[in-house]
Amino acid sequence: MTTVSTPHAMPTCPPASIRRTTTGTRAAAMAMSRVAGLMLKYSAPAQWEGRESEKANHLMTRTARRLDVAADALQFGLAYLDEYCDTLAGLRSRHEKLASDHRTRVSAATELRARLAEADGEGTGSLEREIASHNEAVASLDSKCRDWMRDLSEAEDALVSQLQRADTVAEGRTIGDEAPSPTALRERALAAHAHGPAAVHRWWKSLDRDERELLKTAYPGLIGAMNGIPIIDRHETNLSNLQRMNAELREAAKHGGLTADEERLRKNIRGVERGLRVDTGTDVSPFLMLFDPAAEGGDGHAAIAFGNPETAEHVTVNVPGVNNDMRGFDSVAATAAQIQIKGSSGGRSVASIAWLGYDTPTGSDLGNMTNETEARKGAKTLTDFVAGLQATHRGHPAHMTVIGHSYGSTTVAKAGSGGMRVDDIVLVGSPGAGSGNTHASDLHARHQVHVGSSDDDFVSRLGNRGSLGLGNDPAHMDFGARRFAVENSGDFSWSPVGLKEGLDNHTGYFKKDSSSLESIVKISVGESGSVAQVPSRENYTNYGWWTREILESTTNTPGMISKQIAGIFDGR
Amino acid sequence: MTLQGFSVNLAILRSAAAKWGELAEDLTAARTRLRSAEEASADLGEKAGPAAQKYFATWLKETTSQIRASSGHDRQLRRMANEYWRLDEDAARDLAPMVAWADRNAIVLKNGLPVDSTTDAPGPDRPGVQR
Repeated sequence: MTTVSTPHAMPTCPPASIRRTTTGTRAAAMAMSRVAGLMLKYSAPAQWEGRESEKANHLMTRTARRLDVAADALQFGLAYLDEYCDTLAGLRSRHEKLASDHRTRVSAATELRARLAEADGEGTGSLEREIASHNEAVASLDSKCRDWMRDLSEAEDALVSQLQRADTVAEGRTIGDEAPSPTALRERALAAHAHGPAAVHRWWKSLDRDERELLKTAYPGLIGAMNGIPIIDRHETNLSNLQRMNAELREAAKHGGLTADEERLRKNIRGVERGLRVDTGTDVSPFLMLFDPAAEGGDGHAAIAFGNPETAEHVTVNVPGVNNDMRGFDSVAATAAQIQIKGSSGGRSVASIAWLGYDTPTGSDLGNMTNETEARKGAKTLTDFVAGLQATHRGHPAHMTVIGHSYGSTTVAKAGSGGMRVDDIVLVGSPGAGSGNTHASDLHARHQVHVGSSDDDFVSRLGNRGSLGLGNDPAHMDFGARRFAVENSGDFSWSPVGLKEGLDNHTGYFKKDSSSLESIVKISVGESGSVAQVPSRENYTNYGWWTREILESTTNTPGMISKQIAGIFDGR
Repeated sequence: MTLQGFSVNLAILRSAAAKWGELAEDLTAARTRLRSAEEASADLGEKAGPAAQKYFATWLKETTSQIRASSGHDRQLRRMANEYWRLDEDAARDLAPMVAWADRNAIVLKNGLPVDSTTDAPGPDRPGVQR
């Protein structure tokens, strides 16, 4: 009698949502570590030589110690929870494959049994062979499932044994005594940081998992922003920090409302949260690479990566210009997301990052848009950020493009003439390439410098020695950049409508379905050869443009006109 | 019980109360995150789930205990700041450990001697010298 085997029932696999265990624990450990540090400031100093009883009775000292124990125990458990979640991610992929094989075998068994029944329980030679082959596959599948269950069981045992070492307060104290010193680790972090992102990357890889977790929870601001640390660690740190701040702001709001600074913080966080929710048409979440909502006097720093820059073949960094702060970070993120979505079509591997790691001139410091102070500072941090991307990238180096819009283009150009080395640089709506940069070659792009400048974008007319400009116009023929075509939204003029149209031209380079966005995407994926080139601006073009616009103005007197022209072109 | 003899800087009491209040708020926020971790841990697996639940229960209890203690200190200090500007010796001794270490000598005898120096200290602290 021939029998058809059916595979054993599939074991169940813990869901991917268990990762919430680590994010929650990390945010709690972070908060605990922070408040312990705060209490420590109000505590008896370690070198106190007076009566021990006085120190022992001091409540803030005792509380700091107890909070420290809790933070140590949470950091300890977190390291093993995280390891378990990583192991489970691998087990989950294996489980999916096994489940697919299982479905195939169950349906094959049903079919073979029906055919066997038709043959009255005795198969023909070919049916017998099919059944034997099927039975072998079922035995192999069952064996693989047993291996899988053994691996899950071992992972569970390892986690259980570690969690049991920290599930009483007394054990927490022992762990605290044995834990590495956070301050010593911080010193090592800063020492590595001084040697640049590549050194940071090597140092981070040399740490144990619990040392990394300790640093992530004790110093989230430092670790979340440190270039050279792998993106997943930065993301976890920054996201937990965001969650911790949100929870604290909610508590503060319940008890007497928010101060003006807290309210600003809340708005900055909301901007980032909206950025993280930008629709990319996939289930994959973006990475939060930088999160410091209190930076730059409350303007904030943030960076979100769409796609993984550590593995992508093409990586772009998008640098915004004036009037961008963290409150409106979602619009910067949406631009980066568009480039990633369009670039990825056709199966290309693309990551695109929205980067606001510098103080763009906004609000009260809008006056800085007429000088290079912030661009210079931003160029340094951008250079370090890009070096971090290069240090953490795996496999063949990525094709890297940095895109700067408006004041951001000056920042990018300054970075290029400094230490930043990338393949392509794109400057759009540029008020100038920064003092000292007279030619595209000064920006050291390995491949090419590209320029997008609408003829009626008044900001892009400020370059070339204008008093409001920031160095040479990169769209000018002498600069030697490759200029691509952009659409004009309308004609600039000295009227409310004309000014608005000029502004639309300045902000329209990344408009959905625009030819400028298409060109930027092509450059980002290394296909700049297929981007149509348009003639550069010639001598006196900007001078003539401003003169014409001012002369056409119906509201100006001749005296005002000559003053305006002199004011804009004081160097000519 | 005499109410004479001790005085306290009320600003220091209020500042200490605020520190405890903020601690209670921050710990409450931490507890919220810890609770969400505990809830998610139910899915960790048949063996790991219960172990994680026990681990989280310990630290949730410890956090709750610290929240209660901090809120209690906050309330007590606020009440005292509202009610007293003179203290009896027992109240002064209760208060001193609740304020920041650097401020504990602000609760003093009216003649300027620190509360704890009445027993075994050789003499009052010299300004700027930490013992």
